[in-house]
Amino acid sequence: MKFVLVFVICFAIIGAATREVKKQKQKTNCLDQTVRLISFVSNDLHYRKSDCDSLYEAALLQGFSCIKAMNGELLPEGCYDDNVRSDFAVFLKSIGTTDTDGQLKLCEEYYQRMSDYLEAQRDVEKNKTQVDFAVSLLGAFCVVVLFV
Amino acid sequence: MQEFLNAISLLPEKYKNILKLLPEEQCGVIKEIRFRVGEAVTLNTSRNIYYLTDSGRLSLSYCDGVLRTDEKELQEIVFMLCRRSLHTYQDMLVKGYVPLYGGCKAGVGGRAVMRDGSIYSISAFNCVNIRIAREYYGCASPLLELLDDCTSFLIVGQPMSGKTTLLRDLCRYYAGGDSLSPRKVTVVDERDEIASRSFGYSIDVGANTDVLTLYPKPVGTEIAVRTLSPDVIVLDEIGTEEETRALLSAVNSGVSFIATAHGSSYEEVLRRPNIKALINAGVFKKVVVLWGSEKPCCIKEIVSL
Repeated sequence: MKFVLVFVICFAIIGAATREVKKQKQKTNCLDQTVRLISFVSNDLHYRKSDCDSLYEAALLQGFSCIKAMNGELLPEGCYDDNVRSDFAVFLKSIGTTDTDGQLKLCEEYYQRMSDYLEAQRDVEKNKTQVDFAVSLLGAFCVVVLFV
Repeated sequence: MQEFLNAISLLPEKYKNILKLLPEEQCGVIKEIRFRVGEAVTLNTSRNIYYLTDSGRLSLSYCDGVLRTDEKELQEIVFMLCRRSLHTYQDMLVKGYVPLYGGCKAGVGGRAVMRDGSIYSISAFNCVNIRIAREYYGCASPLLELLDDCTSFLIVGQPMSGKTTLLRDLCRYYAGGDSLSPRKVTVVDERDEIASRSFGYSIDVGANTDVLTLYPKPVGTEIAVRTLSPDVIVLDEIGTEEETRALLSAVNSGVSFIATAHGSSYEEVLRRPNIKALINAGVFKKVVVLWGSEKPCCIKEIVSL
């Protein structure tokens, strides 16, 4: 019975750490997709000058699901922090409102901003992964020592 | 009715819903829908100007219930007509129009933003004129009977006289799949009015027609002659110096030209130096003059050169 309890507690501690790591990974992936989407939009505007509807369809075909926010669709919870979410919403809302030069400048600005967020998020993910695993392993070890 | 729906399909919901209330027979005769800042929305037929009321009725007099467009609404109208993508239509807005579905066109006016001596963009839009394009299959038949197999001619007519409609039908005739000896036709569609190919919906211009969409006419003409080996090149609304130069350089390459120009008579177009140069150089064998907006696509006279 004691061993089963130890096993369950250890599993829960490690599981919680893994979940947190997964969450961070998802955030990184979302930001990575956003940065690539902005680059895609910039290339499309520069070369094809597509209108918003065509751009939306082309981005979806390329697998950029986050473009759905352009049509007011809510993105999955946990994808972005609030500041990133509002920046991304402003970017999507601004597409089509000015000339091509203006649009390209907008893309440049938001590409830089999102790249900075991504870099910071990668650091957070790396640190959190290391710390969470270390803490969870330590926790699990303590549980084993205390009970056994 | 479909043409009317094509023309209003991109308008904001408020206007679309009111315009959809109009009876079908009235929609069938409307040629233009006009919006002006602070003014009533008007719908023009070939004879009258009607005011649109907010209950979706037409009035010949300026009554209380007429629907007005304020400045904010007009900016929204242009933004919607541009499919929420001003960058895509920037070049066209500078030239004063936005292509709509089915060959319809919106003329727009506003405040010109200048850069290096030319118009860079338009802001503070203050008027929009939606022109409804209609397809009339067979409208070129009377003309074809009078042309005696001539495929180099200039069609002259006033605005709304049916020049573009006639061009489309001529394309279908010369390049049609059911024609016994179809010709290779290339349409240089600078304003996307003839074939309406750039935004999904396209108009039938014949099975053997190549369409160069949104190409400037001089560039399109050169590309057509060099790479598409057409029998006939079709151009709408010629008249600039560059266009004249391009046509003159292509005239002896074995290609026929069918083009249109604004004017109300043969004498009038001859007063335009560029058109005169083309006629003198033998680019066209005949000049076809149309009646005008009261009799669209009808021939007033044919001048053999």
